[in-house]
Amino acid sequence: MKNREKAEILFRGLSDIDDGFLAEAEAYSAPRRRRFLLPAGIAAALLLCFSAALMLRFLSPLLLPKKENTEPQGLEQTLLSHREQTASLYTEQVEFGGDMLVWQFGDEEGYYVLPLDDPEPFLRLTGGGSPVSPEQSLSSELKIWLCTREGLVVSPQLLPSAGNTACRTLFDYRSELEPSPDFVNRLLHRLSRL
Amino acid sequence: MDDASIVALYWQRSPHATEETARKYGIMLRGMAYRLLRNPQDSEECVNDTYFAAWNGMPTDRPEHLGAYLARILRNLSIDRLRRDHRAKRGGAELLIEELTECIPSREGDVEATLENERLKEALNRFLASLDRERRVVFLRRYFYGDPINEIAARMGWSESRVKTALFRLRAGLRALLEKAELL
Repeated sequence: MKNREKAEILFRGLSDIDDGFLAEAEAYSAPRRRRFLLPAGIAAALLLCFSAALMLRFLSPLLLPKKENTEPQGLEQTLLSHREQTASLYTEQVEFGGDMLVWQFGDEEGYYVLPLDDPEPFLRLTGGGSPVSPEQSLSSELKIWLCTREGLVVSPQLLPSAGNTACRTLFDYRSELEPSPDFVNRLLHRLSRL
Repeated sequence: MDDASIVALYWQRSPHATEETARKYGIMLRGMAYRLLRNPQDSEECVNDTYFAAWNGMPTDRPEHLGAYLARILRNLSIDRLRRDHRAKRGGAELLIEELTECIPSREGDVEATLENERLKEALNRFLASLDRERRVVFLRRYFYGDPINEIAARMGWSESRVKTALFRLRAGLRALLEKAELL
């Protein structure tokens, strides 16, 4: 049998299918699509997002517990907050000769001198901070030195420099560095042992 | 008027039966006939033949879906008419041979053919039942009612390419089913 004949049989065979299918095909019409629904839906969603953002913006201070300031303190803040604790370290005159950490606040004449049993860990941790601008360095309220018994002075803002031979003597014009977080932690740890 | 009332008119042998049928289904039947025959005069004749066949069929028939019942009659009449026209156009010895095949007495072959038709009908019903509603409608609108693609697309709210793709897949599905059933 040729394909055309087979197709004809198939075509004719379709006449015998159930009436229910035919009635369904006869009555079917696509559900009306409401064209405005999509843009309206998008607009509603945007409005909802906008309202939620506004609510969060204005209600969050009332609804959420106040965030405590958990930002890590800088070295200057740390040493200032330990002022009473370190009062015993305060001296008008620094006597060199041992390993020590020396710092000075801008508003004071004297120095704080913390003798170190082993300066090596502090020395290792210097130089790891981010560079500070010369203006920032000059305006800094805190000056800090690390002095070793061999005469090495790691001078303001803790940049290791073999050129510095004494307090406040700065021959190295490279950018100074902020004390690294590890250095600050180490110092805090040391201060906690006072 | 609903289908049951029109059918009741046929059963009462009321002259209004055909009138009411034409009022409710005339447009659908004329459209379908034209799509199948592509000739206004043939279409009109075919629709009238359909009314006549329905008048003769009821009683004893009591169709639940009058539209489907009429569409089926019209479709069969259209196919017969197409075949006749095709035969007439071919002419010559081929026409004579084809005419003579009608003289050959029916034997086992007819029984086999009837059984085969029954199996085909079952397979087609099974195939249609396996489809979701939309695809079933698309298939029937195309291959039963003879609707063009653009009209099917409009009816379904689909694009024409989506209708074509659906039909392609439906044909492939039907082919697989017929092969599995070892039909045709």
